[in-house]
Amino acid sequence: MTIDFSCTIGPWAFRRLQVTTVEGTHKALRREGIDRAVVSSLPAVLYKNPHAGNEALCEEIGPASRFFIPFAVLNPSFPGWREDLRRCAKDLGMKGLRLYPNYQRFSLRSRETKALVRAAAELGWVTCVSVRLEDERFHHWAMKAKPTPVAQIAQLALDIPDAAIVLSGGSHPDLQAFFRAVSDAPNAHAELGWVKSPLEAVKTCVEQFGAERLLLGTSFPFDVPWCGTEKITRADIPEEAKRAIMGGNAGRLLGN
Amino acid sequence: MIIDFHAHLWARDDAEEAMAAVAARHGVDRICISAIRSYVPDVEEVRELNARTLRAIRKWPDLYLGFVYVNPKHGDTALRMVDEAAEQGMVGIKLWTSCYASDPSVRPIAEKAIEFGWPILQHAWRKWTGNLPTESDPRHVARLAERYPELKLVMAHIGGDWEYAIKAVRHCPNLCVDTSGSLAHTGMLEMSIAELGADRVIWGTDMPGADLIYTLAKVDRAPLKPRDKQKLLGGNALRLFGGSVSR
Repeated sequence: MTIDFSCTIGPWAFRRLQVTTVEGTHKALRREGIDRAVVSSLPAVLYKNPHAGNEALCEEIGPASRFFIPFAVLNPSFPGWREDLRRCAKDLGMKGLRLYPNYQRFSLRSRETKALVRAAAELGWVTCVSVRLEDERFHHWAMKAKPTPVAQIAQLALDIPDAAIVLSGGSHPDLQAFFRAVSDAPNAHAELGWVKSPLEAVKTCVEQFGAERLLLGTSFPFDVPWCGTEKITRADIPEEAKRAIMGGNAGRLLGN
Repeated sequence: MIIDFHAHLWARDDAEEAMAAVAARHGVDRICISAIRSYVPDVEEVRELNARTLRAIRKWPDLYLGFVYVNPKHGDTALRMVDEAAEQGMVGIKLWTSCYASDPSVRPIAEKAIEFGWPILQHAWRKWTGNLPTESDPRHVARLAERYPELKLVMAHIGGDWEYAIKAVRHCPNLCVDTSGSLAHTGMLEMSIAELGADRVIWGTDMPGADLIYTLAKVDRAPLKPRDKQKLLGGNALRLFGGSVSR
């Protein structure tokens, strides 16, 4: 079972993406042999009310997708997140949480953010925290979002050990800082979509952090999906590590 | 033949050995290398770096293709370095961030490249976070290409912000782009080929600062016409070398 942990669906305000639909995403990822994909609404990142994006995404996916695993985008500094979280779980059947502190301008250290992550954990949800969606050098001049501080994501994992935390959009140096900070905390994970360096990037990650807490991420539709899969399947690492990263770890996290 | 047009000796002392091992594992036949370190190096540093490149091409003559790295601000000294590099068997020139590609000091280097029939690999990145003081924007590279239409000029990284960069250089038929670096955006190769033509897009990695598998998959796995893919992965590079590099 191959599971992509870093996919988003929908248009992006700053670049015309080739694929913005549920159907197109399914087709593109299936072509890469991906069996299931954790997805969230991309427009929700920029909506003041991100829950409108959650509703639109779930409406398009439909209630019984065997492929998509919808994660909610919520902003803990926006009123009503508790009710929105309840609706995401009960009405929309969402299965996890994605946070974009750098785009939505909230702090991971705030009481409300921690309350949201705890509430998600009580639902049995995984919480993904985005470091970045795009290379900062590439940002639109009207929307320059600094990366989410990795130290704060690590601290969140340490403060709430019952919550499964996934660092998303982190580069290799970000992963180094993250895993150094969380040490061997079993609830701290990272998806590899943004790991593009050094020379043998995935091999280096496995040697430095172990394979048990690493997850496949394609960063689709920002990036072509085959770079995300190939760098793992062709890496000079044991087959067992490949299976774990490609889906075994994700399946365990998602309770499959 | 698969040719990586953009790799460096830097960041690690064993880059030569490490890149050779990974290239063998993934079927890369030739790698164009230059040694770099400081953004604006002095003469001694450039000499030291080029000596490293020379050692590598002598130790791995069937793998590495040497590009001499120069700081055009060094004037006649830089030109002499290019002459020496020709005698040593190097095949191209690397320009990084010492000055803009459009700086008058680059002109004698460009004229020397034309005389030798060599390509120049010019770094460029349009950074919305701000460029280094003398780091080229794609528009600087376009000006150099416009001034010397017979120059074989390759702009690295598709200029970083590729939508911006492609539009800045598409009117320059003597200017190619390389795909090296961390970006593997959807639509990037498609727009490059649609606007520039498959003859003007060249595969590169930026090893050892970039993952070989990731950067190779960008082109190798892309849904391109087989003929175009062959051009990107080596055919265009061979054409630029004009027979100085054999199949």
